[in-house]
Amino acid sequence: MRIGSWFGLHGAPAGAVIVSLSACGPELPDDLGERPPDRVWLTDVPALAHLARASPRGPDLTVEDLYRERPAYATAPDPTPYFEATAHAHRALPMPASSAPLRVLSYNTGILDRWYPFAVVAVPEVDQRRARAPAILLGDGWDILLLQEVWDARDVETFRAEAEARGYLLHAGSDRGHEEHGLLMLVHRDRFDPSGPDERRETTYAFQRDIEDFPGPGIARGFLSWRFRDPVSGRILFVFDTHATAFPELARVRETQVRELGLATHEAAAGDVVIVGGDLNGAPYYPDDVFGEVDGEPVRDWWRNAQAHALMQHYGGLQDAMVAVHGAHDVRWMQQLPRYGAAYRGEPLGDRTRCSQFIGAFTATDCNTLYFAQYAGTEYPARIDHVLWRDPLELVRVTVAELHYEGPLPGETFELSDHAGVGVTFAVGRSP
Amino acid sequence: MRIVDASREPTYHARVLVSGLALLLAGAPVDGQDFAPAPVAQRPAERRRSGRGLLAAGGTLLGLGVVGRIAIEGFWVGPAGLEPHEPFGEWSIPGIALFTTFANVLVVPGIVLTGVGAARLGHSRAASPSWRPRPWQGPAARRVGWVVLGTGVGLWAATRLLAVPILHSCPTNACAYGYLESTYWLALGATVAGAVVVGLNPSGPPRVAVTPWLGRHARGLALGGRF
Repeated sequence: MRIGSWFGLHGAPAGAVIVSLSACGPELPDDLGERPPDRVWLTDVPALAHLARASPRGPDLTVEDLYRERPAYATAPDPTPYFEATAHAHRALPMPASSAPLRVLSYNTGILDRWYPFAVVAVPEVDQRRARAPAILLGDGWDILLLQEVWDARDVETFRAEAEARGYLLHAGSDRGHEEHGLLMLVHRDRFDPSGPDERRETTYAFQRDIEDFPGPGIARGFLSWRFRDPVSGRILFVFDTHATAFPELARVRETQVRELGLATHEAAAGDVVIVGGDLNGAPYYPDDVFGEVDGEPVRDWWRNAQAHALMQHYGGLQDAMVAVHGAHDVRWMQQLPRYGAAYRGEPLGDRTRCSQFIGAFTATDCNTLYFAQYAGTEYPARIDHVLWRDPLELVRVTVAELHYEGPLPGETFELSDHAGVGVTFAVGRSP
Repeated sequence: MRIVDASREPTYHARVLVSGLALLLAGAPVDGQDFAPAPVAQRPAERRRSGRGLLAAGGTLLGLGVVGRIAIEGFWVGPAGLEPHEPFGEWSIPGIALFTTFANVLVVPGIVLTGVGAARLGHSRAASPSWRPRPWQGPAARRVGWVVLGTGVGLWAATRLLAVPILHSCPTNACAYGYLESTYWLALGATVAGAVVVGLNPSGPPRVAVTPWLGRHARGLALGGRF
């Protein structure tokens, strides 16, 4: 679930009174403009050049300007040239002479069942799904699982019991911190060298939508990181798991979060393979700036919602694994979506038979029954969950990148989560 | 004169009659022998101070607060779906504090108004010539009332001060919500009952009383008090 529908943003009247609380505090990082990635021209960064092309002021904008001035877009920022070039370049790279496959899953489990004064926020069928998720996810042979929305301590314990039975190690952060970020990392023992390093961290983002924490249901966004040696490849993996703030209206919060995360990935040592997985609540591309409606009001600023993915790549020096394999397929999928209309509120994509055309396309879509039950025509169908990586040695290849857990659970009419997962198989070249 | 009946109020140590206002408002010279107020001037004052209005207001607020608290408990059991055996989520502690405050915004003023109303009613009743205290009414009952009131307020304060560490150590909803709600109802019941008993069993008349005064040669207000 995209944690939301609260406090007036999606029309909850009880919370509308206190929505102004979210305006408290600074809106931008104090050190914005002091880091080298802040000061570059958009046109000089391949991952950001499409933002410059879509803005009338694009050639005159730095990354810092993007944060401070929030320039408007005249057209949809379209990353197709960069994505196609990335995929082409990745395919052209020779396979390392010696490599080990590494299967990584990023998955928003949607195990959410919380209350706050006068309201409940829960993803449907949560009790059945929370009971089944650990066995299903840990039984599918993933080497690393980067999970989001495993909010409650009891669910961590369920995963822990399953992890011990199936040979996984677990990093959930601190007891108190975990209940705020809901993140969970699992690494199979076969991919963890106990001789070290074993550096586990938990970070709460400096910028939040504060009402999600209080008076909301105790949520504070952040990321987990885990640095360890993979004994199979011999490489040190520096892995991050995150869940960013949702909604186009809160793009500025989300963009400061991805900046913080991107900069944090540079704490990696020179030869580390950095892997970032998570729910960024932002897709790489949206055809229209206005899509969906909430309480009769159109939802705007989708073009700006695409900035987080681009900025994540920029600040982290990261590549999107799906893009490396499929190029600009996000753009192609999104352009096939029918225009928004009232029919979207009645049926997924306005006509549920269309869903069969979009299998493998979106991690958050009304074609998911749990998602439709919550959002129905209020959100752009999109791939908002991502796996990205950086390897300074250029010894990592993406061999498979695809969506998982899209369909209903066996014997059920609902899915394992309201998101689909992003599964990536890396070929991790052994260090020379 | 109604201001004080010393024979029925043994704890009434000293009294002062302030006739300044009477002098200021006098329509005729005061001759010192004609101070008996007209009976008609006393009845409205007696009714005004009966405390029944305050009791009604306090009871209404308390009732609404109690209904609110029950509604909160219904929310937890119903829409929130909290099961007693399930683990308690520590994330919910600030939400609990905020949520229960909504009910207490009504309950706390309700207790105060009920207590003041009971005290006024007690004084009014004690001042009535027709009132005869029952054996269980009087100073002993007042002392019991103070003990119950003190227990209620003390329990309330102590259990709320200790709530955070106790809730952090609670493994289940039954432990956490059971602690909060059982102590709440016990403390509330004791506090309200104690306040009412104390109020209805006054140790003496109000410390200060203002009484309209109408005589043949003087009109004004009389202020009586205990110092």
